[in-house]
Amino acid sequence: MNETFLLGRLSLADIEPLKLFQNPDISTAIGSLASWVVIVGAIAVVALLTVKGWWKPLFTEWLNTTDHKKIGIMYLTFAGVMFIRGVLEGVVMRAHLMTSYEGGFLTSEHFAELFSTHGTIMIFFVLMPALIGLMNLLVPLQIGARDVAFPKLNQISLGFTAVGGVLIMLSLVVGGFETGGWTAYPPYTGAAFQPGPGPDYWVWAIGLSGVGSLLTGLNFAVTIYKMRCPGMTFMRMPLFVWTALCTSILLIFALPPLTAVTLMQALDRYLDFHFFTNDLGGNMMNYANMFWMFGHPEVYILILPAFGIYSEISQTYSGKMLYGYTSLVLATMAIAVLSFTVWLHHFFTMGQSAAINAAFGVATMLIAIPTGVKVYVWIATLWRGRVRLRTPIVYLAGFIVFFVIGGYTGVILANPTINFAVHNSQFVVAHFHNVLLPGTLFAILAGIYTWFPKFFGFRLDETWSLRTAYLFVIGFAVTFLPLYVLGLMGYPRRSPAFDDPTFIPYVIVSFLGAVMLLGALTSLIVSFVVSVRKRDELAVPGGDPWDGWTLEWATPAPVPEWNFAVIPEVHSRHAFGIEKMSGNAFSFEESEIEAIEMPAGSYIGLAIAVFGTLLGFALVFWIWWLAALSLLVMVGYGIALGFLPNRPIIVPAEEVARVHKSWADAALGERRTRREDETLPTNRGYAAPIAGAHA
Amino acid sequence: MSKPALFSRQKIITVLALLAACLALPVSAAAADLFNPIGPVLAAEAWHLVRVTLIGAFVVTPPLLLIVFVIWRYRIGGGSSSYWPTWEFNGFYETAIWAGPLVVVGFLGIWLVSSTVELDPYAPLPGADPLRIDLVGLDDKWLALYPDERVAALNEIVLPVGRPVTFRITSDTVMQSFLPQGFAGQIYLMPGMVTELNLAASEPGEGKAIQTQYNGSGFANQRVPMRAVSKADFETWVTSASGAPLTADRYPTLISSGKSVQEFHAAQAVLMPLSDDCLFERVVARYHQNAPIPVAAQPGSPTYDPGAAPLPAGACGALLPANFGPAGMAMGTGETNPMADETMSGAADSGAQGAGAKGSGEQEGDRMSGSE
Repeated sequence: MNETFLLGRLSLADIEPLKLFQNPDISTAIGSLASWVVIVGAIAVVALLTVKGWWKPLFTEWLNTTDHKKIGIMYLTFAGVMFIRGVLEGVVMRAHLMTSYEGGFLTSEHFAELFSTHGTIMIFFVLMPALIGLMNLLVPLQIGARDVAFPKLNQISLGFTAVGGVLIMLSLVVGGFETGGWTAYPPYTGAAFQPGPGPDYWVWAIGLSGVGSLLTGLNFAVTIYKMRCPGMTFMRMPLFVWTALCTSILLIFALPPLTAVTLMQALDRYLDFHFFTNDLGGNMMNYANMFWMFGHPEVYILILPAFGIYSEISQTYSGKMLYGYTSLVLATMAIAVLSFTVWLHHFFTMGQSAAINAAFGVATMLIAIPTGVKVYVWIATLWRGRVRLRTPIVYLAGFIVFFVIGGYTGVILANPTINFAVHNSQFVVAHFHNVLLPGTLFAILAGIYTWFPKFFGFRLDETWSLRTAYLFVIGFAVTFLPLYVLGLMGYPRRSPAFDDPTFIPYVIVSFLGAVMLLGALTSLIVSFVVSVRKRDELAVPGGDPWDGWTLEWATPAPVPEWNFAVIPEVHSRHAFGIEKMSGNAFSFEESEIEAIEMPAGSYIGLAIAVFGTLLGFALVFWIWWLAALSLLVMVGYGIALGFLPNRPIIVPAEEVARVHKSWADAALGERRTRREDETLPTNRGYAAPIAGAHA
Repeated sequence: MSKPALFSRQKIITVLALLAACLALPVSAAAADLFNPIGPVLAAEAWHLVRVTLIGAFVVTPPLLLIVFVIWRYRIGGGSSSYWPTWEFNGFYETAIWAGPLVVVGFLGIWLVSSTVELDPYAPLPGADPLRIDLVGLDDKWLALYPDERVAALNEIVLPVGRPVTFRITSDTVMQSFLPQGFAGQIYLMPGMVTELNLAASEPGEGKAIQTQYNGSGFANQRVPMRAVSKADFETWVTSASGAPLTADRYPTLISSGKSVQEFHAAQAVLMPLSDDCLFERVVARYHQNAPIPVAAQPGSPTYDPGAAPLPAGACGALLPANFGPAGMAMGTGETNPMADETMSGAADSGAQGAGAKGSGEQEGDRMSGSE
């Protein structure tokens, strides 16, 4: 391999877009076209920013912000972009599999790159950042705080997360990705078997973004422990905050094994270590254990905040307090603890003794108990409520129906003896899509629908949102349920081709489902476009379009930078809802309002994102000078931050009072919306008090 | 075999016929699989699947119906007059939702433990004189060595009906997973380590030896016939071995060279005489030479060169460290397992014991101690 000082091992042959002009076969052409999509997309974004004159606000209001709400929105935007790529990859894979009886239109290695990037992107760069984005948006508001505990650290976390996503996007354009799946098991991903840049992209994308996730965990744990408003005891925290706390704890304990294992893999690949190689005592079983010590808690990092969202949704859209709060808290904590005791069920087939397998199998099954409790709690919350069949309830119903089935197949898979037969098969693919789509993805979409008006000041169009929800729910079922059958029939996962014609009808149905999911994605994008166009009609300045129970609804929409004019004091779990029932929700003493000190902006997050990406890219292509330089800038900026003057922004009391008074006055004067009418333009975000309550 | 066109007429007709006929579960194919097991191990696993599925169906049906009922019954404007916005606890319901899952999981958990112990892949099946098969996973090929019959089968596994079979399994490339479809569940195979699997065939038939862990271009080819035949047919099959015998010298040429692996082709079965007493041990010992292995000498690497990758030579007894299991079937030395409580490096740390496998007579305690 030719190496130069300036460009390391980067060569023209790594540049994917050029391959389109080199008489490619169909598989290469598809890969090259995808790289062109990235390039054209990037150019389009630059053009849009220039034409609209958005460069200045981008740098002065967004990229330097420490506001948890804007950071949350940036997390969600990032996840959205990655989601588009992940879905498109899924559709291409299903199209390939439909034709793959004795070989489809992609090469094996191209297909392998697709399932590897699809898995890595969906887990690390869609579901995780989307949930962290929602945590950013909601946690400070729900606990009555002005921001997270460490606003700059929050920016740094976002920066590291972005590094991973950008590196994966770059791998599409330069050099290609690894082919060992999102788990990237060595020795197959070791230097002997994949010497190219692919596994290095994985190592640095996961390693660097993992730092960001770990810092997020620390930040939110501290925020929830230390920043709750007066009266907000632990047992008064909204359920979403509880799940965010558990997720933060999981992040703190689960990410270190992942970071360690990526660094060990890097040592193997770069410095000829032998942690996981075939020779000199390397042992990939250690990798499997360490990866899944992270990997299984990760599953609950993805599902617990989703459970929190469903808890909030079930009480909001049924106009009813959450049933069984204590049970839900206990169940959440139980799941968080148990999640560290089950990792071995990802490799029952590695040859360990029956006793070990049985212990981990039983531990896995135990998780079904708290999870089952939760399902019954949500059903009881809806019982004797006034359930509005809005978009989130469609997601909630789809979630409960399909998640119960997914949990059920999880219990089946927890049996080592059954696992022996269906491990590494499409049954497993069906199972984890069955929990992650209805579980996490639907929750994120339902959450976005619910809280979008809070942060943007207008609701999402109901018609298009409903269409999106139905398409996602039905598309999911059509795509993934047939895979259970395929798995039982013996179709291995990650298989680019098959030789059994009886599989064909199932892969066709599954492809049709994938087309529906593509339709759902399109519909989702349309729903945003339509809503932005109709934003005046959909505006909800009152900030409480769904008659919420919790503190975040006790603010105008969009939420002012300082969140609360006066830090609230709460006396119950359903703080805002109870206040509304008693008619005191909007009363305030103007004399209590004081000037507010907000943290100053910073560019440390942006610097981490830019130089972290350069560092990763330089390491992938062995451009040592650039790697050293980037690392130096990152560390140097971090140290310099301690010496730079820190001038907080002071918002004068008059300004705070003006904003708050106009909102509270309007709330008292404005016509209140009944729940039946909440999708009409008359819903300005002021909720009519609940009528007909028996209590 | 040439690659068929994407949308040949034959394919379209097959698809339409199948679409019309099926989507009903399960398609009864000619080949043995989980729905048609032809071995007692898989039959027991399938039965366990059925009973867990049925119990589970009882448990998951109520919430499925309840959620639909509750949303419909209590939809706003749906005519229900009862509305309890502040109801948040009921002791009876609370007890039921915790106790219900607890009881079911307790019940299923007991079954889980008993079936896991009963169907331990390392536990020999009843019956005397098990057939020994040493299986080597190569890139896109299975090589089954029959040390007692002194034959080696490439891309085909044949076993006699009614006689228990004990596999010792290793990989001579990256990690793979061996699924003897129709006969038993799967187990991983890793270079330099030995895992075990016991199975038997209860009736004649054909299943598949499937590799389920993606490992590169030839992945989809590594699905070869696995046949159960009568004892007489097995004898005939063994005697049909022909051509040049498989030796340690010839072995490296069986391995596809790097990236030249052809995609999606039907594997060709070959049965050769085997003229090395411990070829399997040599393959395992390749990774225990206390010296780095050059990339070109590592089967599965893109630059693999058969000429540069000889198997270790030497007497059979001296190939592997003395403490290397598995006992009982151990490296040509007979029944004892001198170091049942020690395993090779790494296995101990990871809580797994792919290398220090259990011998036929070992008790549970020995295996547990091997992983501490």
